[in-house]
Amino acid sequence: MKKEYHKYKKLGLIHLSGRLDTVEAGDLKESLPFYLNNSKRLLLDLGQVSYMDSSGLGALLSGLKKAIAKDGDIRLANVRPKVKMTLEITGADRLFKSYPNVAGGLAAWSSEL
Amino acid sequence: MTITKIITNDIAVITLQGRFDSAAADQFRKAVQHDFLPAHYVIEMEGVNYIDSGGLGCLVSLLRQAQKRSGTVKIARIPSKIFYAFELTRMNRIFDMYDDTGMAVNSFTATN
Amino acid sequence: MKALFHIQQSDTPELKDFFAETHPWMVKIANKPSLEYLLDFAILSGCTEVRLVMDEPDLALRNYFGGGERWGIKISYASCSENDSLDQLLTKNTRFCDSEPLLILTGLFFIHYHKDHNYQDWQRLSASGMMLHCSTGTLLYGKTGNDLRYLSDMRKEVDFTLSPIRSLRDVYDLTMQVLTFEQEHYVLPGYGPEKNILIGRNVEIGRQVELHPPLIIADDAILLGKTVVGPNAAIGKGAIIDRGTTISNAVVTDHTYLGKGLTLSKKMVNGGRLFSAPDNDWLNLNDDLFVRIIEPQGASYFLRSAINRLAALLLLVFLLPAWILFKIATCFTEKKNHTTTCFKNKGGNLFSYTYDLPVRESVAGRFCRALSLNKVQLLVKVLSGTISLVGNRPVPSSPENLLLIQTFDHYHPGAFGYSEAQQLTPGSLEEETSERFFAANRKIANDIRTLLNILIKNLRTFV
Repeated sequence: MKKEYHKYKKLGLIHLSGRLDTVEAGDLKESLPFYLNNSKRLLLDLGQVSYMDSSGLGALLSGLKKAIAKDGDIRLANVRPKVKMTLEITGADRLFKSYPNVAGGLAAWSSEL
Repeated sequence: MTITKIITNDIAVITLQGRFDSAAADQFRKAVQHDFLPAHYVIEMEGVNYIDSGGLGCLVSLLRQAQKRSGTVKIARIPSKIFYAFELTRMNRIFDMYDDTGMAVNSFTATN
Repeated sequence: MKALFHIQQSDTPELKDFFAETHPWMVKIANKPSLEYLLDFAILSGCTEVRLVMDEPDLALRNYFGGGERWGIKISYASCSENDSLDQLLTKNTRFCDSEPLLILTGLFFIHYHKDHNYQDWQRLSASGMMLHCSTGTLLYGKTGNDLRYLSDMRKEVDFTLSPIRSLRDVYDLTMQVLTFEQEHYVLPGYGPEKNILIGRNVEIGRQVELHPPLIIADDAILLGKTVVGPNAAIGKGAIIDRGTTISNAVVTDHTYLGKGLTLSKKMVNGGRLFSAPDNDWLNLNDDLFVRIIEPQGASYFLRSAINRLAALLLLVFLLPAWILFKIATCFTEKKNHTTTCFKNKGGNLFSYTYDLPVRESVAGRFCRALSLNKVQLLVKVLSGTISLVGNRPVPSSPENLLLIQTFDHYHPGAFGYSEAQQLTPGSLEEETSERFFAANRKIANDIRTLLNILIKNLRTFV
């Protein structure tokens, strides 16, 4: 799993790529709190993520919990159908706000602040 | 096992009857060896009531021999029980099967 | 009248990956195999004999349809080669086709009909040698087989329509259509306590489960507490739906486990695979918490595995002292140390074992083969339940072998292989045929004979 972090004013943007599975989830779960210390609002670009299982989703949910505790949020952009399916069956699609693309997501979220 | 052979032109029609098992394998191998070897074989199996891996192996070997002479082996009138053994070993993929012996013989002339 | 149904694997490329283990004719529409609808239609039309012609035989299909006794007709089977023309089909099945009027269904499709309507007349009134198309198949009718060689389109209005089955979306849509609008049109499996609810035998329904029609639940399914099923849900045979899960506008196929607290909407799951109808895309999720396949294991499985382990343990007790002595004696000689990875089952799972004994050409190597010491590593695998004591020669994992394995219905690797006893060339067609034959005809007596044969044969190599 590759991660690339950028900061846009009050928002942090992380491009993720690869598979969010048992092998990679631990790493993401550990690193999300660090990014959240830098910016409590994180937009995750999942455009290059091809697969997510229960452990990947677990990592995202634990990140979301920490973000909300800091009065921040984690949102998703560019979710591909294969990942969307995992979000849908678990009902996690109702917990994460998501945007069709990164630019639109950054603009829409910034205008809320 | 009873084996009957009729050879016309370069097609041999071999009619089998009885148990086609490892014990009958030698008999079959001898029966298909001639001084003059036909290109094609039609094996009529209506009277076969049992086949095992030895019998199936014979047919595969015969096919390989025939293919060396650019011939082939076709199966005719196979009983459903024997056909099942063909399916289990996926031999249905390597043999063309006909429910009529005459049609199997004709199919050689039709394609040549 | 007779009917000949014909299908080729190449007809259904899109279904193949998602329904990997399932023959396209066994893919279920509302818990009933797609073939059974065609069969029912043929029977309504007056057919008394049906021949199923396919290029890929299927064990599950054979077991389900058998000789047709359940339907009161005669079902026979025949094979075809890939890309056989209609003419070749008729030639290969001459005897079957020539005596009576003939209905031919070729390709994979669905027939919409109504079980209470009369289908005895449509063929009699229409001209011989006519056909009805849809994009994935054709229905043909002729008063003699020969009439089918000269065909014209069906002109008469008939009381049925064909609809194509090409994609996963088609399977999903048809299931929804049958459930919602056509439940009364077909004989569907299960009894109906209420309108539009059909429930199979031996279904377990937990506390506070909500059932919203229309829905259909197959035999042996288990719904744990607080699940919500329907509207528009089909639950397959032996499926397990864990607590609090909601299923609507969705299909759960046979032997699928669906995890706790999930929401399955507009989707179809098969084993670990998940299809989303709106996205028209699917994913192999295979996650123990979400969706996975349930491996069927009967009571005989446990008995057989216990016998296997016990026998392996006995052999090990005999071999182990020799093996240890041998290890000490040969600790400085040249050794071949390599790990082999082989297929564990038809599903493509793997197991590996390490071979670290002297090279087989050396005297020490021959000695160790004679005593079957080379089997010690494999016997340990038998003890752990990974493989059988006697079974197929383990097939090494490789892309080509994966194709072989996927079509190998009873593949079960063993420490001692069937064809090992027969001295057939590894990798030859004869060996493959023999392996398939023995695997399909497993008998304890056979296994014991094979085991003794190999042990004795090994001993002889040294003498």
